[in-house]
Amino acid sequence: VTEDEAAILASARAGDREAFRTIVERHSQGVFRVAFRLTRTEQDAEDVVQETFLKAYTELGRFEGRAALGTWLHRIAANCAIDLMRRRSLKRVHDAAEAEPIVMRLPTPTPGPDRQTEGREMRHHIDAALADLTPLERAAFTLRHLEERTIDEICATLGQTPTATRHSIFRAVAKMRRVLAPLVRVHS
Amino acid sequence: MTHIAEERLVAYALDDAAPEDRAAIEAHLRQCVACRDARDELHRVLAAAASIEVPARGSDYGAQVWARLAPHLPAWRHPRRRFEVPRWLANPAGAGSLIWAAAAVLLIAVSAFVIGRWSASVTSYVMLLIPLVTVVLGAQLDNEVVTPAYFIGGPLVLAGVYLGAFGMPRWSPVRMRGRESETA
Repeated sequence: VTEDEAAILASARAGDREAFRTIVERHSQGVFRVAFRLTRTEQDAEDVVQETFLKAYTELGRFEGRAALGTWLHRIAANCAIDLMRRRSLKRVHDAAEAEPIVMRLPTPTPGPDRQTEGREMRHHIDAALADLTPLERAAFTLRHLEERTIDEICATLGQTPTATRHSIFRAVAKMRRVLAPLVRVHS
Repeated sequence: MTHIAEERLVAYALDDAAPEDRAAIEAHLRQCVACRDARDELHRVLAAAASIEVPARGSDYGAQVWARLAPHLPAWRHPRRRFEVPRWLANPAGAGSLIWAAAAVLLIAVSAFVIGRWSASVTSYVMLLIPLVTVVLGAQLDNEVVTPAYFIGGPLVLAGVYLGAFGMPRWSPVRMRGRESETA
């Protein structure tokens, strides 16, 4: 926690709403990124952002400053997203993801129609592969591979042992490999 | 030639393999075409999984979130003060350890004396207490917080073990009722 962050945190803990507003404004983008990567729909990600900051506001007194404030908020966001995923059936999440366009990183700035179709197909398969993961597997995989968190940080976020976390990541990758390997072989 | 297990290859691809395992995997990859192909395929799968872009949010996104959030924030309440062991007592290098050790010995002695009056086997109770005391000392040495819940929970566990394993004490209402029905 930096000096500036510590001062804002102290004010927010003392009930200063403007200080908490600064925290929200600084960390919203990062929290949204984590939430979207886990939920895969913008609407769900927005709900998770809202829920994360509400929880953070009521639990600010419990934040011990051992990790960076951003890490703590991302941890809350990941848990809110996991709860949301658990509440919903995977099918419904998958349908929502299909209905909402997700932008793919494509190698050329103006891809041709074939390339766009390929991109859409691949996106569909990635969504299907992700939908097949349990919330814990998806969270562990996303936090490790996309958010580049350490195993220890993921353990703290998910409340798992390092062995269980490694197994969750492995199971996620193995499942995704089964679905995506034939496609990336063709595309390579 | 034995190929690299998938679990090890995944750990390697995600940069989670231990340094010595990493070296062994790299040595194997230099010799084994099949494992090199598997690694390349895994990298492509991981790259595909990472290819979904997060929708962009404008620079005023934080302000938008705040505008939606502010009306829902509950009234501010001061957080309750947590019980904390004083720093001088928690310091494992200083007098803290001696005081905790003395308290542990005293706890064992008092417990042995009290429960010894109810049972012929004092040793068994002392043996039960040792893990609790060890955990408290271990927590202190590791600078973990020992909460009041722990101190309440410990005796409760002991009471449960006593009642479960050795029966109700003589003054227990349950036992008294049993005696009454026997007499009747």
